[in-house]
Amino acid sequence: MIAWSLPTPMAMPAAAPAAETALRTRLDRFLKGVERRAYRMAMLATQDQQDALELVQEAMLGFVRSYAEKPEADWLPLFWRVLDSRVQDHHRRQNVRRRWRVFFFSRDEEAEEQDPIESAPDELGLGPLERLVADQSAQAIHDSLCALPDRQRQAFLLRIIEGLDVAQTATAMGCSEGSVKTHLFRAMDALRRRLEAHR
Amino acid sequence: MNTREAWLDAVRTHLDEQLNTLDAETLSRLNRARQAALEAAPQTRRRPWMWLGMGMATAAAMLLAVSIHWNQATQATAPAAQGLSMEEYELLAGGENLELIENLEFYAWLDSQQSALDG
Repeated sequence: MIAWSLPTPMAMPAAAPAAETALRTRLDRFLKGVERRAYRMAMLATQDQQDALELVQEAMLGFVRSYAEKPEADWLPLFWRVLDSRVQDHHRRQNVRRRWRVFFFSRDEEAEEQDPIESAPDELGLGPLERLVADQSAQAIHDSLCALPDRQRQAFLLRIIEGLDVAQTATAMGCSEGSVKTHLFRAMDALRRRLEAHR
Repeated sequence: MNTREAWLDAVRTHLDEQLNTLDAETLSRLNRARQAALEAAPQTRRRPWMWLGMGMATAAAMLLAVSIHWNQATQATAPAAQGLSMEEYELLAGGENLELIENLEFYAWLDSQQSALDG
């Protein structure tokens, strides 16, 4: 019988689950290693815990969907690239929302929204992260990093803190190596001036 | 240690401490985000050759089904020798019956002559 002489139909894709499991394990290990740092970067960019967590989730999902098949050596700059893209999208959305708010609401209403008592930090409700930055020196560092323009902060965090080289940083930021150097120089200069003045 | 290194070390220390002091809820959210992302991984890994493999598997299954059906149909149209009775065997095996068939016209003429004589 012809039908019985053919190879078993499921024999070819049988190796696929094993490969998928191996890939999944490697992805899990990679994402586990990078998730906290990604959250820290998103927090510095958004200043909002919920937004930061959502951005990290979107970045993880986008990375797995688009770049899981790439060589593992390329994963790190590609992951930062996805996160950077999500952060920029977030800022664009925020800007649009802010413009509409300015358009629809009067200044009186805005002043009402920015009630200083309401917006004052809740000292009793401080989490570990906030308790840390409550320290004066830590607060200065935090403020200095937050005060940097997005691209400068990205260049500083990726190049100096994450340890990517210039080419990888350029890939992660989606710009030229020259731009990375410029952003990094400006970031280092601004941070040095602010932090040395604080000391 | 010069001044530049001092401030840079302070920044590094501050950022490292941030990583180690994340609260349980944030860590849980990150874990869930990671799991959700990993769920998407196998779905994205359907390569063209995998679709080809699945297509070939389907084709093989269809070929098997068609061959089984074909065999059954062939067997159904073959003479069902086992269903014949003994009388039918004798009719088929009898030599005189074959002679009757071979001289059928003669026997028909004979029958008509006999009918004419009777009439």
